[in-house]
Amino acid sequence: MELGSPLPLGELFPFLLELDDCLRIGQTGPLMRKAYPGLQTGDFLIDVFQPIGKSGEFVSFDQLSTEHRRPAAIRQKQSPALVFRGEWFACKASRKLFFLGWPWVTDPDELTNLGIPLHAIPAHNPLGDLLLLLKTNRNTLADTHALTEALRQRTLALESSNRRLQDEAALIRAVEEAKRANHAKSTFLANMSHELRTPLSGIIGMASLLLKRSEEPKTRDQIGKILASSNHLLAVINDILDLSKIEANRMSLESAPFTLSGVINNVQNALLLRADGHRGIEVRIAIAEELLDRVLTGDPLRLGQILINLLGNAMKFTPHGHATVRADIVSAEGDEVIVRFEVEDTGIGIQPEDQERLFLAFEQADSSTSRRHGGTGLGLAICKRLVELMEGSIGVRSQPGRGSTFWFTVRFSDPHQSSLPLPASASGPATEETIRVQFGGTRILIADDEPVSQEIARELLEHAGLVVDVASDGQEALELSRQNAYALILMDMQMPRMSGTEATRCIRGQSLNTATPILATTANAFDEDRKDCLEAGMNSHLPKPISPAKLYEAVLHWLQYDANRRD
Amino acid sequence: MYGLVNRALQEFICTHHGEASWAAIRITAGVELEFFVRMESYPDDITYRLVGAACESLCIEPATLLRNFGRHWVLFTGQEGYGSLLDGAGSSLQEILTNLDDLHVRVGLMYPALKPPSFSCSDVREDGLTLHYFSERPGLAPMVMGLIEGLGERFGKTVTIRHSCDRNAGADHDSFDIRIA
Repeated sequence: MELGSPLPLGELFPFLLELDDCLRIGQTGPLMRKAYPGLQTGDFLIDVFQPIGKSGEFVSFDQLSTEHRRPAAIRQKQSPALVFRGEWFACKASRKLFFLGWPWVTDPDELTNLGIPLHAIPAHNPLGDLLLLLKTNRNTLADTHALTEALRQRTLALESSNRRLQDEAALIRAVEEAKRANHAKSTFLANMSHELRTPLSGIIGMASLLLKRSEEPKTRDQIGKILASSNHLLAVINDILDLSKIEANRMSLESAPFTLSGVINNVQNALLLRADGHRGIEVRIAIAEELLDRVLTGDPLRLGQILINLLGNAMKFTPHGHATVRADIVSAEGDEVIVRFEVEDTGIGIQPEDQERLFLAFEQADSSTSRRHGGTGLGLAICKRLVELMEGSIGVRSQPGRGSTFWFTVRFSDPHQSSLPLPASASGPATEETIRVQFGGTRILIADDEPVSQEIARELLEHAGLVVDVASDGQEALELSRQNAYALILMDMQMPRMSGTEATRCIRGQSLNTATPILATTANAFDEDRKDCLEAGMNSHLPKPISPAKLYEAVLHWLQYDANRRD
Repeated sequence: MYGLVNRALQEFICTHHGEASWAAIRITAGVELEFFVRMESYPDDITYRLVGAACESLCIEPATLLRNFGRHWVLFTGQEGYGSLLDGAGSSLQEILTNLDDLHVRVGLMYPALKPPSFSCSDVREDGLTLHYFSERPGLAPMVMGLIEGLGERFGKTVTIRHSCDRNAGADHDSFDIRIA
C-alpha cells in the first residue's frame, strides 16, 4: 500500500499512530498530538500505551503484525480512562505498523474536555452525530424517568385525594347518620311525651275533680300534692317535648300581635302559681316606657316561656334579695324592632367554668344543682333554641356570690299599631261561674275514645252547668252532630273508626253543626297537629293535659263566639 | 416541532413570567400536555397555539416574544446538554453561522420528522455576513434574529441585524444582514 505523503494520512486519521519495526512511534495524527501533547517521536509504544483485552504488553513488530486488520483497543498508561478503538494495519513491505482509531467516547463533552471540538472530526466521520444521538437518547431516558416520577407523584396525589374524599364521604355519612339518629330520638321523645301526657291528663283531671268534691282538709292537702307533683311532671315532659320539637325542626313560631306588658303580667302570674314563687323574692320590672304598651308581632307564648324560665331560675337561685326584668329597644328600623331583655338576680351566681355549659341540653352548673333545686337541665337549652328561632342571641354575666344577669335579644315585627286587634279572652276563677250563669243548659258534644278523658271533661263541664253528649269515636260524633245542634264540640284527634279531623270535615260538610265551633283536644302537641286541625275545619286546638282553668277559659271563649255568631 | 422547542418555550415563560402564567397560557391554548419529551415530535400547531396564547396573555407582540425566545433558545439548548453541539459547530460567530446549515442537516438526519430549517451565507467578511433562512414554517424569522443575537452573546459579540429580505413582504426567503462588532 502506497501511503504517499504522511500528511494526508494524518488528516484522514487524526488519531493516527505510526510505528517502525522496533515499535517506536513515528508520525502521529494532529488530534492525537492535541490529546497527548507530551507524545514524542521515537517514544516506544510499550512505554506510552497498553493493549486492552490482551494479556501483557505489546511484544514485537511481528507479534503485532498478526493483528493486521483486527479490532484493537488501547489506552495510554498515564491516562487510562481514555481509550482508543480502532485497528492495526501492518505494512510488511515497509516494516511499518499503523494504528487507525478514534477515542472511545459516549458523550460529546468528553471530546470537549480533551480539547477536541466536534467540528474537528472529519466530515466523513459520523462519530459526532452518533455522540449527539447518544446524548439525545440519554435525554429521552431522563425524560422518561421524569415522566415516571411525575406519574408516581400524580398517582400519590390522586390516592391521597381519593382517601380524603372517602374520609369526607364517611364523615358526611356519619353526620347524616347522626342527624337521622337525633331525629329518631326526637321523634321517640315526642311520641313518648304523648304517651306520658295521656295518662297524666287523666291524673290531673281526676285529681281536679276530686279536689272539687272534697272538703276534708287533709284529703284536699293530699290531692293538692298529687296535682303539684303532676304539674311538675307535666312541666318536665313539656320541656322534653319542646326540645325534641326544636331538634326535629318541628317547632314553628306564632306571628301574633301582643304587648310586652301583657306578656310580663302572664309571666308574673305563672310564677306566682308555682310553689317556688312564694318565697318572698322581690321581682322588679323595668320595661322601657316606649316598649310597655307598644304592639309588637311575634310569639308571645314562647317569649313568655323564655322569661318564665329565666325569671324562675333567678328566683330559684336567689335565697334573698330581688330579681329584675328589664327590656329595652336595641334598634328599630322599618318594620323591625330588636329588643334586649335582661333578667338580673342577686343570687348565688355561677362559676365562670360553668357558664359556657349552661345553654347545652341536660347541663346544669353542677350536678348538685338538680339535687338541691330540681329541674331537667333543659330550660336554658330551650331558651337558647327559642331565642335563635327568634333571630336573637342569649348569654350570661355572673359572679359567684354576687348574682347573675341573663340577657337575650329578639327580633320582632313592628306593625305600628296602636292597639291589639284581638279581644281579651276571659280568665280568672270566675270563669266556671260565668259559664254557668251565661250558658247553663247549653248543649255541647265531647268526642273522645279515652274513658278517663271523657269522664273528666264531662264532669268538669256538667259541673259548669252544660249539657254534655259524649261520642266514643269520630263516626259516633258525626252521627250525633247530624241529629243535634250543639253550641260547641270538643274533638279528640286520634280515635278509632274515624279520626277527629275526618269527622270534622264531614261535620263541616253535612250536619246540623256546619258552623259550630269545634275545639281539638289532643295529646299530640306538635305544631303540624294544630295545623292539621285548622285545615280540617276546627277552630282551635287545646293540647292535653288540659287543666280545668284552661278548659273553662276555652269553652267560655268559644261559647261566647258561638253566641255572637248566632246573633 | 420537537418537544425541545416547546420545553424551551415553557422554561422561557416560567423564568420570566412565572409558572402560573404558563399554566394559564396552556389552558388558553387548549394544550392539555403538561410535559414535553425533548425528542418527541409534536404537531406544529401546539407550538403556534402556545405562542399565540402567550402573546395574548402577556400582551406582547408575537415578533417581540419570538425574538426574545430565540435569544433564550441558545441559552436553553446549551443548558439541556447541546452546548457541545454548538461548540462543535464553530469557534467563532461567523464560523457557527456558516456551519448553521450543516448543523441542521445533521440534526435532520438524526430526526427525520424534525423538518429543520435551512441556512446559507453570503458576503462573508470579517465584520459580518448575510444569512439566508429557508423554512417550511411561516412567521419564525423574528426567532432567527433572536437566535443570532443569542449566539452573539455566547461569543461576547455585539450584533446588528437588518431584516433585508422578508418573506412576509413577498420575498422567497428571509435574509438578514448581520454586522458583528
